[in-house]
Amino acid sequence: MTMHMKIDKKKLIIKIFIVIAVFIGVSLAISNDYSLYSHDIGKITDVSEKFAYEHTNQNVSGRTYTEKFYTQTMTAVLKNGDHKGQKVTLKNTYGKSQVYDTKYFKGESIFIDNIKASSGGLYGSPAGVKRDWVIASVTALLLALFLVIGGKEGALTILSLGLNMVAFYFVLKEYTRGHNILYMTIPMVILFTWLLLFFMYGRHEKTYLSFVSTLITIMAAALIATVAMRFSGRIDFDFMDYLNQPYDQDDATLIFLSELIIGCLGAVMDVVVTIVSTVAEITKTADPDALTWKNVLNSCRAVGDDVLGTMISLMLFTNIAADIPAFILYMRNGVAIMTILRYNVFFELARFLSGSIGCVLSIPIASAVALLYYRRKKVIA
Amino acid sequence: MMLAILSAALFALILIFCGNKGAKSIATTCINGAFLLGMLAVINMGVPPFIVTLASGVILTSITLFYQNEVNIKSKVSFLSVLAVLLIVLPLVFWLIRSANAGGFNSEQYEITDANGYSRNIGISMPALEACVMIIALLGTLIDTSIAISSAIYEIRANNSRIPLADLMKSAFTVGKDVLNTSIHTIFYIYVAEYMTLMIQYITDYSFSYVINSKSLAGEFVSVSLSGIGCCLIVPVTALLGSILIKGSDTSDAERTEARDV
Repeated sequence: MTMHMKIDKKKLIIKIFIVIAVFIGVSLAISNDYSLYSHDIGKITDVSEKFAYEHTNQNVSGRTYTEKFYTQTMTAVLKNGDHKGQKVTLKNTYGKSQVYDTKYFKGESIFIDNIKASSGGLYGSPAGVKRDWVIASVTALLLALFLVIGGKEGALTILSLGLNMVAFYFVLKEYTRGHNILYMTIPMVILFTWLLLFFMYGRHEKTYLSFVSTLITIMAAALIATVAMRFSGRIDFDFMDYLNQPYDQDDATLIFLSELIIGCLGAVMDVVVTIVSTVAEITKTADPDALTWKNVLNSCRAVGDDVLGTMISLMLFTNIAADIPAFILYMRNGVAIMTILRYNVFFELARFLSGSIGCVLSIPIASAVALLYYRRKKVIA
Repeated sequence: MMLAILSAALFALILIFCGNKGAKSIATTCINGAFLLGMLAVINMGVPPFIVTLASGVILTSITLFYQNEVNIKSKVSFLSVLAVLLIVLPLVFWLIRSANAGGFNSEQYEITDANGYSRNIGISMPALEACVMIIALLGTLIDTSIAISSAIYEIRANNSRIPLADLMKSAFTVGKDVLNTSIHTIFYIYVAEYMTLMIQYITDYSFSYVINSKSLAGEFVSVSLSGIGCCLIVPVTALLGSILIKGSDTSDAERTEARDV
């Protein structure tokens, strides 16, 4: 046994090294891809900072907040373009909270606009941080971790996520050409449910049972969401994050519905797979005399109970988190919490609730589908 | 109004289809939600967001694990694993925030200006709030993945109390891989839904070189990828900790389950 453990340890250290090497390699390579850009890029070599001014404002509820502003004077070396290798002087102002502005750091590569030559050398204005290498290196790190920890399944997960991304891209592209987004989302969801389950189980009865259960559950959840939407009057999409303004009310409604459907897909499949696997295992291992549909149903209920709590917490945390900055911003502006919940985080809460409804529904639906199937096969009495 | 209908539907469905433990998840969700609001209120009062977030992270994990799943070896293992992974990813959180330099709001979002009655000068550090977003988003998937693995280890042990540690670990890793696969897809679809409108904006308005360097992509991507990385890391951590602790735990616990199953 100790021999076995030793080999594992050696393998593990090699794997960790590979992950770190991939991460550093990609980040170095992409940090230096300056020649790919036509926009001027400079690397900041020196920063000096000075307090500029203070801005005090009072919100509607009478509280005042003071924001301090600083001016940065930076020197950067240009990395591409006509002035490659030359130094350029840049100025930037930022507020301490950095709500809309950015504080630049020494060593950072940034895009530079309006480079002009004058008596004291080159001058320009900063136009945002070069962030491509962060995206690339983190993606590489994530993929390397999948492969190391997930093994063959990890590779399949990467393949599945990649296919998903490509399909989403095409659906959204078609949408921007004027097609109905919901009509394209539905076949895509069906296709991906099938693909994912097939990757997981191959051609197996569990694949078919999970597929049918997932689709029925999603339909039921979408139906509930649609009914709720019908009975609640006009939704104010002004606060929907990242929605192109101005928007069309019907179009925004369809986007919102598509979001609700896709948002609960993963969680529903997760619960469905758990229930279906449980029923399949029970039919394989249980004492034939004890195999009554009532007993199996009780087991399903117990398993469902076990997974539901953490699943709903996951839905809550993952959906709500991204809205924390907006929440604080509005609170600081004196907006009442109930108003924020009703308008600003409305869409996140709706996705959380309909996702959770999907999770709950998948317990009875998956149990029923699996039970009916095995009863018809005469496995369960 | 729609939220009220959906909440009512959710509660009703849980009460109809779930047992006691399912009904408890209503209480857990309400407590967690109230606690999150409390956390935001404390940050709003001016307490440094990062400290508040770390403390809330620990408390939210305890509520979800110990209240929802009760205090037992499974939830204890998960609690320790979640804390361990949080500690491991903390340096990564700082590194991501610093190098993405993407805290705060971006030009693709609904804009807050003095003109529409709001001030953007709020005196709270947005990069620090970014850490808050990343950690809270990560928590849900850590807890869910971890408890799935520790429950599986517990069941394996309960069915064979003389199983050697190495074998238990091996089984734990096998289960972990399956759990990782479904967990990743769960959060993947949640995020795709969340950022659908942003992706539409990218496709209609911007070039690839703009998107890949934009504040919006980097800001959202660091949070999404941290969830993914955490989800990967929790698998070996729970498998390792769980195998050792559950193997070493009081055997009577496992035997009792065995006796009940017989």
